[in-house]
Amino acid sequence: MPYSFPIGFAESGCVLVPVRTALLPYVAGALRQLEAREFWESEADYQAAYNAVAEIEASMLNSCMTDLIDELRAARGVRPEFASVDPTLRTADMFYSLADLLQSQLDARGVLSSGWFGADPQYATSADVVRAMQGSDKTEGSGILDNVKGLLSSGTQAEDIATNIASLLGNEVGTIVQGGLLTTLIALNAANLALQTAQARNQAVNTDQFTKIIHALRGVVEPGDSILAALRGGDEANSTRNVVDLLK
Amino acid sequence: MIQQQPYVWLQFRDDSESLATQQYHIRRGTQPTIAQQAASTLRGLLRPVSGCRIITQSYILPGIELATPDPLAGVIAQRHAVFVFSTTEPDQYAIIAVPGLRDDLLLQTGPFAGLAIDTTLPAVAAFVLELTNGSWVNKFGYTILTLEAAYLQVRDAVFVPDWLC
Repeated sequence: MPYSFPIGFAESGCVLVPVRTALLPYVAGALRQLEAREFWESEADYQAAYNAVAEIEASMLNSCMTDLIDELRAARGVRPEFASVDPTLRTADMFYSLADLLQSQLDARGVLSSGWFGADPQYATSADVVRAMQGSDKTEGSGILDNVKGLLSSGTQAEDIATNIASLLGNEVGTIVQGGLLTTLIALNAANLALQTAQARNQAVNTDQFTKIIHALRGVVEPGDSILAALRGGDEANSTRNVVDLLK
Repeated sequence: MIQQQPYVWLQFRDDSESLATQQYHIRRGTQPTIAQQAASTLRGLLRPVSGCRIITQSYILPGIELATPDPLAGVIAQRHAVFVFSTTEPDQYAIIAVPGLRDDLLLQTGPFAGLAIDTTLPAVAAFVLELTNGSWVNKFGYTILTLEAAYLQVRDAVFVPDWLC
């Protein structure tokens, strides 16, 4: 008697049927009757069934449980002491468990603070690590670069810059790691550059002041003679003709 | 190959689901389309004569192979090499079976040793290449595309009447 192909086939779930590989040729071969047109009611039933059976037959070389176990074990990782054991002879206890993997994650944490006699340690989170890499001040939430940027603003004295950077370093000892130190190095270079800029600015101010004094002494236009000659006349000073003697 | 007389093969079913088949030979060299037209005419004339329902029709071009080598000793016809192919149409497959699989074509090692067919062997590769060259189709006309699986199946281990195949 012909059969109708199951309604809702595509939406139905599937089951895992373990078949001993030695029996596989017979089980697969027995599906042959489902490939026959006369087994099914209509042409549509037949075509749907044929392809469904073909899918089953194609998947029968997927060594289901073995593959799954292998995948799971590969994800767990073999314990080093059993690495030399033949993979086909390894047992479940030769692989890390989920608890082992979680513990290794816990062990990888750094301790920020041991707490009161070690009773309540504070562990570093990934966010802490990121902040440290950025040279950030965990308690204040502002970075060294932000502070240095403020120090480099106009009007800040060079010695203040150095003093404040030293103070910053002292404050960051607890949280700075390599990334923070690198940031600090960059900040110091920036500070040095600021100092040089400040020195150049001071030098320019001094030059301007000296120019004004000279102009007041001799006028804007440089005289052809010297100021000294204008003061003393044509005769050069000597041991008996000099200002000191004249003032006596 | 010696060609035999072609025939139209019809399958009859009575009210109790019993089946009977009959061959109606036709002139040699008749083109399939002409043979189909002739069969259609014949079916129409058979209905008033037979109380059965005609359920299947085939046009057979029989031939007899005379110059084939002797079968290998120990080979069993029911041990089929079954190749499952995907086709150019999604979710449409082709199951191609070859009776009497040679044991030396099976994998010798691994979890499917003695079950899976070694598709790297020249004989197997050549067969697969022929089936995927664009000329062959599955039962529904979709062009065979890619080999999905190839392994030993024992077919006819349970009784499957010819009319089911």
